[in-house]
This record gives sequence, structure tokens and C-alpha cells, in this order.
Amino acid sequence: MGRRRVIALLLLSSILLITLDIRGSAAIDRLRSGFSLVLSPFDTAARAASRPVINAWQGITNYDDLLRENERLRERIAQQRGAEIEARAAIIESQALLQLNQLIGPSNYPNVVAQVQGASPSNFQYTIEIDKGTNDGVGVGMPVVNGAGLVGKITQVFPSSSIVLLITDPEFSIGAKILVEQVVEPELTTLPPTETLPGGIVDLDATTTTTTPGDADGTASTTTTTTVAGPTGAVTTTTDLLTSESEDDDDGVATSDPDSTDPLASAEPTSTTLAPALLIRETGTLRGQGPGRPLIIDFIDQATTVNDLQVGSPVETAGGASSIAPASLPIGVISAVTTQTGSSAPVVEVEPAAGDLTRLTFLSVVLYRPNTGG
Amino acid sequence: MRAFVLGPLLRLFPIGLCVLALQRTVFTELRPFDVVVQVVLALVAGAGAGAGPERGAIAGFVLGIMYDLAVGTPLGLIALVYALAGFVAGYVLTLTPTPQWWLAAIFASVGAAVGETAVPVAKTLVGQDGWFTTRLLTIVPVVAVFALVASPVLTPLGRWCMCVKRPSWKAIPE
Repeated sequence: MGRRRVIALLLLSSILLITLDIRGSAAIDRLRSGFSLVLSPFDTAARAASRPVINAWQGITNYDDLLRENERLRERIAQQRGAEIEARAAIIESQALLQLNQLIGPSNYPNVVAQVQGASPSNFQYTIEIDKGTNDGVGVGMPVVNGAGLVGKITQVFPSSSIVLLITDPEFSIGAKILVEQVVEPELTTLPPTETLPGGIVDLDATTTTTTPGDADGTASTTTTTTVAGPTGAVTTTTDLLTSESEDDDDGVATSDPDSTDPLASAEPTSTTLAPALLIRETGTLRGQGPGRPLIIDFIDQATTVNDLQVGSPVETAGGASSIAPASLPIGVISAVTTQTGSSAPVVEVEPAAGDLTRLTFLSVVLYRPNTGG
Repeated sequence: MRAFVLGPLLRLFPIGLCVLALQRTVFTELRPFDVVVQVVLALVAGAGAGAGPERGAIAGFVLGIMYDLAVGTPLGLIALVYALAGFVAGYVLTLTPTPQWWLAAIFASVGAAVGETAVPVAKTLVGQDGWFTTRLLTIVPVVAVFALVASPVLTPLGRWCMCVKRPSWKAIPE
């Protein structure tokens, strides 16, 4: 057989197969599924036989790294304990609000926990294989998360396994939103003189003062609660005033008369408006750039400037009818904001919240199907 | 034609399944310089260096199809690239019919380097860009060195898979 004929035949066959596969062929999908079944016992045997070798290799090559990582993680756990409590409170509040408004949050979707079976054998594809497939309700396009955030999406499913395209792969893209918190400068408001009502209740427009009876050391406390409408809703401020017992009325209830209060509270009753958080929502397309490199968000609105975006701001999935993921799945935080040559629109670099994607063990597939309507 | 293709296919398929299983398990975990060494590609290059360019290209195509099916890359993409790698590695037999082991190893290494470099090229051609990064400068040498080191084992294996016997020379009796 001539050399040229062999090469021409192989070249044409390859091009034909690539074309068929890219256009989508049910026959090729079935072939792939069948081959996966044939290969599965070989994989299992190889995994079992090679486990001691892999453990020995990793023990030799990764021991120092693991020790360092262990110390770093312990330190991080200690730091995050406080943040966790705060975050849990925020989650409860958020869920209560969502429930109140009859909205669906990301944690309301059913999910399937899966174990990572292996990584891609290619240097030019960042995928992992998990042990859950169509038998467990997993479908193509479903988002995959770990405890910290988005990890990837399902690209292929078999009866008892699936392939997950990681967010670091250059082929991965998803709609993302950036939440920028802008803190408005605190504003000092001087309240008009208040009038004491019987019982120590001072009534004012949107201001309530309650006074409690004095205690053993001869002081009473006056609490002024002021409600001020802010850009994101009402902000409540509480100011405590101390009053001396000598100024008490007969019934032991203190008044908030400026002339008779303790020097600590001798000034006019004032209220400081808490800095309201203004949430800016920018959307763009997030895509991977390969391992060890940050994710990037581009196609952000031209009107957005670099100064509008802050390093450390959280990035979440944008959601929407055509998105593969529900809204508000955490993706990561902004690590840098740059501009592209020839364009004023910023390019945002994002550090994934999911952490080191080469060391994933357990994941969760969110059984979400976009509501495309129709 | 049938013997040229069917004979090797019966040997390549089971050997390919075993090597592919090793590739997907052992060699994804053992990552020198954070690079996945390509044992299937090394086998293709070994088959080329042991059996010649045409048979090397056929071995590359068959093993590449299996790789595409297992990994999920567009069917035929890795097959095309591995066929090229087997063809390049097989060029050693155009220089000499019985190459020294080290010469075969060098050609196997070159074939593997060409194959690994061709993967991002082929991916770009089908619209999957973003792979031309400086990381390629680490990946290709590591993959080539592995093929060089594994060649003394994989070249005879590849030659057996392709049903080719190493020519033996006899002195002409005087």
C-alpha cells in the first residue's frame, strides 16, 4: 500500500470523524458510551494495581508541600471560624428573605454528591471524571460545585460516571456577575430637640427614645433609636445616653433633658447614620485560562471603569433562562482589574473560590436545568 | 490490505486498552513538572520507530481514536495528531532498516514532541483555542523525554503490535 494513499486515507477519515462529532452524531455518542463501558474494568484494575505506586510517588514528591499546606490550612481554618459564624447568619437571613419573597436561592436546588475518579490524561484538557451519571439524574450542562464554590460543568454523561469540564479550562465560559459594595461616607445627623412624654418615652418623627430606670450606681440609661431611610433601605442606629440618678423623677424614670444629663451625654442627642452598602451588579462572561492562571471576566459593560470594580469583590453566577447554572452560585473573588489594549472596558481577573482544582475529592452536582421556557 | 490493517488491529486494541487505562490512572497522578506524561503517544512513537512510517501512522490513528473515545476530545482529533507522530517517528526506518536502539529512541522522542505540539494546533483548527501558552515549553520536552526513556520497552511492543519482525541479517557463507 502506497505511503501517500495511507496518509490520505487517514487524513480524510480524521476530518470526516471530527466533522461528524462536532456537528453532533448520536452514533458517535453511543460508540463513546460503549467504549467507556469496555474501558471501565481496565481502569478499575489499573487503579487498584497502581495505588501503592501512586501513594509511594506522592509520598516522596509531595511530603514537604503537604506539611506546608497542612500548616497553612490550619491557620486559615482558625481565621475562618469567625467568618463562618457571620456567613451562617447571613445565609439564614438571605434564605428567610428569599422565602419571604418566594424566590429560589442556589441552595434550594437538589444535588447529588459525587466522588472524583480521575483527572484528564491530556495536557490540553482540564476535566475530571466523577462517579455519578445518568442513573443518578446527572445531565449534560449541570453545574458542579464543592463546598467553596463553582468547580465546573458536566460535559459528558454515562450511566454511572460523568466528565466535568473545570472552570480553569479555556473552553469553559459562563455568565457571571460582580457584586461591588460601595460604602457611603457616614453622615452625622443632628436631631431636633426631643420632648419627653410620660414614662420617659420621647416621640419624634422616626425617632424613639426609651429610658430605663436607674440602677444601683445611680445611673440610668436612655436609648435613642433612629430610623433613617438610606439608599438600600432603612438604617437603624442606636445611641445610648447615661443620665445621673439625681435628675430622676419621683418614679425613678430619667429624662433626656440635655441640661440635666451626665457630661458623657451632655451634647445634644445625635444620631449617626450607618454607612449604607450600595450594591453594584456588573455582569460579564467568565472563562478559564488554564491551571495556575486566574479566571477572567470580559465583555463587561463599556461604561464600567476600572475604578468601579474593587479587588476582593465577590463574583457569582449570573443565572438567567439560558445559563447553565442558577444565579448566585459563588465563583470567586476579584484578584485584579486591568484594561485591554484598545478598549476602555475592564478585564477582571478572578481567583476561584473552589481552591486547588487538581486536588478535588468530593463534589456536588446541582441538578439544575435552565428554565428556557417555550 | 486486510493483513496490513486487521492483524495489527487485533493486537493494538487490547494493548491500547491496557495502556489507555494506565494513562488515565497512573500517569495522571504521576506528574513530573506538573505535566501528564503521554504513554499512549510514546507507544505510538515506539510503533512508528519500530515498524515504519505507514504502520506508525496506522497505529497512531487507531490508538488516537481510542484516546478520543476515552477522553472526550472530538473524535478523530487526537487520531490525526497521533498518526502524524507515528509517521514522523517511523522515518527512522527510511535511514536504516535496522536502527540502533538509541537512534530509534531519538526518533520516537521527536515523534512524540511533534505529536504533543500538534495537539494545540489541531485544537485551534477546530475552534478550541487558548492552549498556546508558555506552558507548552514545559509540556513538550517532558513528553519527549518520557518517550525517549520508554522507547527501549515501547518500540519492541509497538513493533509486535504492528506484526512486524525485526530483520535479521545472516552472513553470506563463503
